[in-house]
Amino acid sequence: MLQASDLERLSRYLAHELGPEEHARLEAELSQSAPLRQALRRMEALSALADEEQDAGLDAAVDRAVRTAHPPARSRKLLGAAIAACVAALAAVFLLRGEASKPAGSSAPEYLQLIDGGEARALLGPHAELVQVAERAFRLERGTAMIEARSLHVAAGAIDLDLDGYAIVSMEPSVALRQVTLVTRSTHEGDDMRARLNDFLGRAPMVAATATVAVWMVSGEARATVNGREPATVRAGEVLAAPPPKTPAVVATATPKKPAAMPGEKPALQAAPEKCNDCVPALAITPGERTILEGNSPVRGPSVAPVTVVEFTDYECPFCRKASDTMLELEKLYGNKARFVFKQAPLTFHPHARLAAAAALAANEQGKFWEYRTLLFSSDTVPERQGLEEYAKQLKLDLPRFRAALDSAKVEQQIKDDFAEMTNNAAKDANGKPQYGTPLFFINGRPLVGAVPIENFVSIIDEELAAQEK
Amino acid sequence: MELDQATLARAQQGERTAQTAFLRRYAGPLRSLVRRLGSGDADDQLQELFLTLLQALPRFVPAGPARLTTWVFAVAHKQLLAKRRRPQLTLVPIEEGVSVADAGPALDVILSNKRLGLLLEEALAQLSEAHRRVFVLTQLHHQPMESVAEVEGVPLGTIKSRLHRARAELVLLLGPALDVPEGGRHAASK
Repeated sequence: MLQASDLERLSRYLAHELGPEEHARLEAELSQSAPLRQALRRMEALSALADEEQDAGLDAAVDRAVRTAHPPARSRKLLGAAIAACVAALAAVFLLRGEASKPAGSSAPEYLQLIDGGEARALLGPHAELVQVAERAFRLERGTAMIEARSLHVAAGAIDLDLDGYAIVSMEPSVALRQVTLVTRSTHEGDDMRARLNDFLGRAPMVAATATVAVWMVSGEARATVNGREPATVRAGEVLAAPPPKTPAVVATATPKKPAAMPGEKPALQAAPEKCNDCVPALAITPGERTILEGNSPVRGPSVAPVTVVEFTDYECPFCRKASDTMLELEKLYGNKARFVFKQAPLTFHPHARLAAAAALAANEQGKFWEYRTLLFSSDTVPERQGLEEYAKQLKLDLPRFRAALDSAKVEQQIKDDFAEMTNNAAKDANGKPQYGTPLFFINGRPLVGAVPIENFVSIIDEELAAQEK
Repeated sequence: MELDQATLARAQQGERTAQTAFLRRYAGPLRSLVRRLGSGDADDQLQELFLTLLQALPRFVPAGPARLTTWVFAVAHKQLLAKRRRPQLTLVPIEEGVSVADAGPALDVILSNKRLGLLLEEALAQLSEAHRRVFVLTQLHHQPMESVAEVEGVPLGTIKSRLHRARAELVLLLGPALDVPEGGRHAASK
């Protein structure tokens, strides 16, 4: 398996930045190594990716900017009339597009709807049901809806919104992106909506994706009330999410009261059976037992700590490296209130990850797991056996003992057991096949995937602590 | 394609139709840039950027060293750098929520011929901001590395290193998706 450093060399090679000797050496390697040649072809393909820009929908934005740069000297009424005409024209365009997007002779549903007497518009996902309950008031019964409106009341589950802008509202946050993708493929608005949602999902996806109801505020703002509590303003760029139901605060045998949702913001990456990133399919977790046993796993923090964070990691996964820093910060933040259990999950397509996991467990047998883990994550690449032994020497481990443990059936079995725990507890697809990625966390049994911001961990840990103080 | 000199001159003098032609020339690439590198409401940022460009356009020197496209992207790059911020996450806890629904449609239904374009956008989102900016500006919008280095305020060598790192990470992230199908080449359709 090639490392990032190999690929950086290829990039320099393509940019003609290598010196003559290095250039010749790389060409010799290329003639010998099929994986290197394949990587070169991939890098060339990446370089060839053209940006085919669609200018659709931008004329209005350009005209608006030019109008703003040339404000009318006299009549505001004229400007108002022009804007009204523009809005009317846009509404007409939407109507036409709604018709155009309906495939001829197809039973596909009409997703695009003008609602509230034409004052607002909505794109409805599959199975979505948006019901008008009063004048200027709608309730999303199920599914996902993308709504653009001025002063429109929208209720969804426990959330009430007074919407003055554009929001994606979902009763199924874990599959919202899929629904948006499906719906928007056939419409011009779709590219825009999907791009915006992708933009959000790239930054703050997890809390929303694990929630039971979520609102992505795309533009404008909304006054939001949750369960009739004090209203808050949700602004463009923010996500309002209701977390999943609580699960018992134990590491072992945590059973969700209801099916919880796994994060799922990146369906395009689902094609790979394993993912080394924070991309996990948008699938509901199968209801049932969730069993994670501490066993011989390395642990930090007191056994009586009210919150236990279990981490499944792969040393060759850059996102795991990033997440390891977050774990250290959390440890400082919560002190004796949190316990950290560390599990090995070397993905099969990472050639050095399995031996690195074994080495970490071998170091654990001499009480140096955390130091060894720090060394493993300190480098951009994971070393091979010789390098792993160098790390052991640096930590002054008993080398023969380290080597014996590295090759032992016991350590091998522990890695297998850890990996099985991850797949057993991961989300399943419709065929029951586990869908997982690293790093994967369970906080008192509640799943969290990816190198997400520390705030996402803090939210869940604080909830767990608060629940236990009651 | 660069704007013709006569139109540019008229746009610099504030003529509306010429200004419109100028913005339309760059609107698509700039929207793409704002989506990839901006934060918050892309439409609002794009509007703000259009206005900034119209205000700054008279200061562009056609006989100077920079091409108009390079100048436009440098203005955009500076504005995006000045504007970037992390979005605030609002999390309001509620009691028991409603149950989640089914797993949705099959994956292969969703992954259409736009798959690679989506994959690229998602992979870009995984890069660090600094690496993403360099890759997007130099590779997707073909901006000179010297100009990007100047706006970023770092040496040219740093920009090159970031680019190589970004490309390496993207190849790792995208993997087999980059394998060119027989008889065709990829295009990052959006």
